[in-house]
Amino acid sequence: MKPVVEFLAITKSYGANTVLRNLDLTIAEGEFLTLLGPSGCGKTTLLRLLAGFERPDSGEILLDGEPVNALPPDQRNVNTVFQSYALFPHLSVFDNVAFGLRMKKIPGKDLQERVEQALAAVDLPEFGTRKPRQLSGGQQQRVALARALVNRPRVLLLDEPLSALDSKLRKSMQMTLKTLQRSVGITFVFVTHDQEEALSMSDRVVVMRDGRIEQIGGPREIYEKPASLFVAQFVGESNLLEGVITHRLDATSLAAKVEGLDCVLRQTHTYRTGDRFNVLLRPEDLHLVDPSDLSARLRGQLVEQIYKGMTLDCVVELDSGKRLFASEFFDQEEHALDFQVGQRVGLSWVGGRERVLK
Amino acid sequence: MEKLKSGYMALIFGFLYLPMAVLVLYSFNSSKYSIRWEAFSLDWYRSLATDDTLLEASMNSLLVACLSASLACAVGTLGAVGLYRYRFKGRKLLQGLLFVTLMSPDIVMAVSLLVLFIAMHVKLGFWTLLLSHTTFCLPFVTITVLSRLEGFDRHLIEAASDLGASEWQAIRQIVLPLAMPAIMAGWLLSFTLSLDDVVVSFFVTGPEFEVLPLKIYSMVRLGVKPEVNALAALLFAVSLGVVISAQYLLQRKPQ
Repeated sequence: MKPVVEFLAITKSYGANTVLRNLDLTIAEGEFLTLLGPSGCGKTTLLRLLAGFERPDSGEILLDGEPVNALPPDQRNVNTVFQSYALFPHLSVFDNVAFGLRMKKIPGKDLQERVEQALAAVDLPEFGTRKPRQLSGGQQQRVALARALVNRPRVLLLDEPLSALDSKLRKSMQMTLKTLQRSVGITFVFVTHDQEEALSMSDRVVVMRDGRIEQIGGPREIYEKPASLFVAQFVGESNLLEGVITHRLDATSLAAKVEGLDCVLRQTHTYRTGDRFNVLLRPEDLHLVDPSDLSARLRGQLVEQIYKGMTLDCVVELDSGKRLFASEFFDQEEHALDFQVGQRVGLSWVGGRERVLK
Repeated sequence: MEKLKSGYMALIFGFLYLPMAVLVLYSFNSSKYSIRWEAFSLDWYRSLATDDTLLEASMNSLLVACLSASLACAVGTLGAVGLYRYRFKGRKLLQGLLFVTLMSPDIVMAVSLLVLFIAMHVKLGFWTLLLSHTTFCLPFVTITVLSRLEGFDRHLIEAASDLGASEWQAIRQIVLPLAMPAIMAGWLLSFTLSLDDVVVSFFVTGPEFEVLPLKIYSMVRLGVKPEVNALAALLFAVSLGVVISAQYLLQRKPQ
């Protein structure tokens, strides 16, 4: 795939605070890329660098292979949807959307047509004469989207655009964004701190932390094969078990003890005897079984059950005092319902679902 | 308790507006010398209209007020946009200095301007008066405009440049229209300040350019003539109208 944007060894600081550290990232043509991370991880700064609102301290940004470091925002073929929407309050919806085209001196008839198309694309064809303050939050959001997309940018930058919406509207806007992105075929770079949003919308997710990239991958890869402890804990719910390597068995396998359990690690990690490691287990991979059941790998006491509608969330306290979370789906066998709080239970999981992290 | 409250309010507003009410009332009194009420009359307004020196002073005052308000708006708005838009060393200091000039007593400004003009060998008259009025109106405009701009989303200018607007286009098409009510309010405020000013004008104008407040002052020194009442009543009406318009503009919701 052809790269649209390349960040090469980007460093950016504000005073003593380094926000991005020697960061490399390539964005492919037509993809929906999400920058995910906690606040202060540098994701918004990365977006602002690409938009041209900030300049990197060092490194180079390429747009279609051309360096754009020195170009001001008005000369870059990228457009931004702001978190606060930043609609011009004194202009009508039509004039807001037409603003970019007027700056480019697109003639009247063509302009009219393109603005109307853009408003129709975001489902607001009749709203041209209204002022932004006469619109609801969700409608303002869509005007902001139309205002950016009407310019047919090479890349559309979205800075947490859904964070101000309520959860239902958010879900429907996620769908709208995704379909819109497919139909226009423009590269989207989306910034969010919401992992669920990132997983459900993106082709690729970039997980960031302290100005560095922790992992890049498809949503499934990020969720199922997190590259680090940070990613595992940031994306989705997780149970972490601590283990220690006891001795080497052969070239590819090691003996280890996890929660008092002897196990064999088949890992290419360069572990040595005495090294500590973590085992990640997602709550939905754990199943409650009878403690005497052969498949029970860990045992403990069921201390809490929370009915969530789609799932039944169970908290199991192991003998070591560690608490594990298990989510049972009702479409599976309903054995979790057989257990009572206070009862001793076993925990099982399908081998291979666990992930070893340093 | 309710009675006490409304009584207190009446006292305050009576204290504030009674003198003006008396003044306006007596401007319609036909008696020339006594404060005794005789009959309703418009004589004093008529005699005002025929007094050439008074008319000339009025025209001078209006001219200086209009020009200094416009100048102060032009310079002050640019200053406000600069303080709002750009981050530079000493920005906070500049903003603080604005308040200093706003608060400093008229007499201090008057004397310092006079000293400056004399030191520069500028002849006192229309130009010195205009410059002085512009100077003391300037912080009012800048602060009014700046506080309105600060109420707007900081991303608006970024959005404009993101959509292809140059710096000038962003200021012309986004910042100025948004600031317009505050600029107008600043203009009206400056207009009244200039129109009413005695202290600064007294120091910085020359004998051949007389303005209304100074004219009134010299008339009063020889005893309060009924014409002065009429003139003051007119000035009060103009100021009131202008202040009300300014308040209306400032309180109007951003569109």
